[in-house]
Amino acid sequence: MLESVLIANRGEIALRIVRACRELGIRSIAVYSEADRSAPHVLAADEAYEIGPAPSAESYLRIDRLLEVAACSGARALHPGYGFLSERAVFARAVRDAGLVFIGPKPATIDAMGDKVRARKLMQEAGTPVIPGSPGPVHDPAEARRQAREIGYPVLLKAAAGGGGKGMRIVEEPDGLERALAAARREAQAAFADPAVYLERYLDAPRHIEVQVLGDAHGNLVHLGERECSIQRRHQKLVEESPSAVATPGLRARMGEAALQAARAVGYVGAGTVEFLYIDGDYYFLEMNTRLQVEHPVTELVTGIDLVEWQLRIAAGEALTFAQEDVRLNGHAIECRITSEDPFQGFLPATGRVEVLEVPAGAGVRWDGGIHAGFEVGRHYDPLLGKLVAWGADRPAAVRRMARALDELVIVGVPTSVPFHHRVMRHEAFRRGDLSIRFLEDHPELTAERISPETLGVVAAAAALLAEGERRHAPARGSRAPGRSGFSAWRRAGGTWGVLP
Amino acid sequence: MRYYIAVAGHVLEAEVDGGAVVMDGTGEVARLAPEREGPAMSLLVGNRPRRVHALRRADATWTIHYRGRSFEVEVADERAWRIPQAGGVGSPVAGREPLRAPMPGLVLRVDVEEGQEVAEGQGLLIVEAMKMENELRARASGRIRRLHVVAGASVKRGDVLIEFEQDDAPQDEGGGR
Repeated sequence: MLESVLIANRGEIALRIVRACRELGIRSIAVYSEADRSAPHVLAADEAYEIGPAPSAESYLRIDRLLEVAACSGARALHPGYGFLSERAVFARAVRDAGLVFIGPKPATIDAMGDKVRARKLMQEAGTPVIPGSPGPVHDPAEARRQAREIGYPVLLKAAAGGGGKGMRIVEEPDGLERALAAARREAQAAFADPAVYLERYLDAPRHIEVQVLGDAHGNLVHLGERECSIQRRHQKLVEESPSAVATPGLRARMGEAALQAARAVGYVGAGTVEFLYIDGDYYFLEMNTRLQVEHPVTELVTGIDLVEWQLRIAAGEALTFAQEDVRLNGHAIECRITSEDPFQGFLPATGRVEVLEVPAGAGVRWDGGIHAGFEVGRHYDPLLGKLVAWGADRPAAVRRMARALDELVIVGVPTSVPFHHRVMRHEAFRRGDLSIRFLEDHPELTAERISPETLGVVAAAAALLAEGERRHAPARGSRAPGRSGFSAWRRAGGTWGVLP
Repeated sequence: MRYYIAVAGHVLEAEVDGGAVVMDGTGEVARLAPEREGPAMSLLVGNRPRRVHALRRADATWTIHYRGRSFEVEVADERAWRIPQAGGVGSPVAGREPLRAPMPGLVLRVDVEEGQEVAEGQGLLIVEAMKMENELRARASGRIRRLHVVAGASVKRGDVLIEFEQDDAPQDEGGGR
């Protein structure tokens, strides 16, 4: 087994990896920015090194600093987590060149999958279905028009180097193509320093279904079933589950085989995810993520396979101890991403201090968090506070358990996505498994500002009783006038002195 | 004691008697569990416990968390409430009467000029009393004849603030805030 692992990340995923190291007797080496001095991943690790100021570009993205820490700590391996440098081949190479084991696939694999056009071509050659589209980047409007006519409108423009929705445009008809192409190229250039854009058929309301694969360095490669991540907002996943409500054993076997073909085509080693868009029984390769996914816990809960443990064991040269036929999905798991975003303000990210944190417990519930009470949620990092995961014997049981766990989760101090998840778990279409990546657009009530009379009543009753308690305990302070700070709340009351129910 | 609670753009009213409050609508009695250390509280609504977390932010101001959401809540007891309320909606005065200060306080801002036409409901000036800002508004449309105060002036209850043209439509003071 590896003697030590440097974790080049922060937040919940860094803590997840520290925990796996601890369980395997591996020395865990954390890094942190000035802002993360007392973050949970730092406190949990065996060793921790500061690598720079709060902005990621000056800390978690500094390859030179990370390699310095690797050298002075004597780290034998490096786990990149997800995000940050996890899918940068140049980083994987630098880590290897420094004599460490990079916990992930070979740099050439990262390169091959990082270029979306190249990946598409590779997948077509491997026999994995891809969305009909242009064979390569389109450079001028005339070529784009010709390609779009062949593919059929509406078409989607995508950045070749891209991800995260940047450089992406839906074009409904030929008239809009030229302008959209220019805009997508500008965006791609700005975001990825590469203006290359290609065309794909735009699928209306598909589902996002992805397959987890795991390969060792001895040529063994298995898939661990699928995850459905259709509930997204601007390509950011919000709710994930395994298995998918639409997956039959037959579909799972076919998509699993397609994912394995894709992974084999690039000689995949380690944990990876092949993403597909699924619509009406057809599925198309979207991209391959050459790293651990945020939503990996749902796969762990239904397969009983610890993905981070296996990443570490594979990196240490161990062979898989199970074959494809040994992989069975047991029950159903759901994950809700708990972020510091206000779902009723367009998921506006918020900063602030976590004043209270109460984490759900009980049977079948898992919390992978990166915060503690007193934690300052800053503006420098992504807003993921933690992931709440629930397991049930079947999908309805998992949904009910998640609803119960959400009831127990308390985060006071910053707005969070928790009330959104409450609504999703109670939503009829979600309960039916009637999902698509347009779920939020199709169901605006999920993000509409609305406060139930019950909530208002409870909050008001608690406030009145608190005020009464203060009055009784501090009679000398006299009558309590409202402070100026809350004035705006009174203004919104409607402008009359009438008492509103 | 009667309390007025401002939360999320609503104002609710609650009568607290013997440490209990009667819920609007259902008539159920709600009380807080005996005080605990820290922000976690149990509110018993009838026999149903409700987990609530409260952080005191300032005088009469709390952040209250319930079912995944936090609300900024401000509470006024009936004494604090009654003062700015005097002369408001509850006691509309005949139209041509001048606008008088419904409470003692400080004029924070005057939003109109002499001779100006004002519309019904238009804000005229803001008086601060008991740390609350109270916007006084025109009850009907009309023309302002004379301003008796400027921003910064202290006023006593009943002081004339604004006189209106007598030949115009009836004028009245609007409700406070």
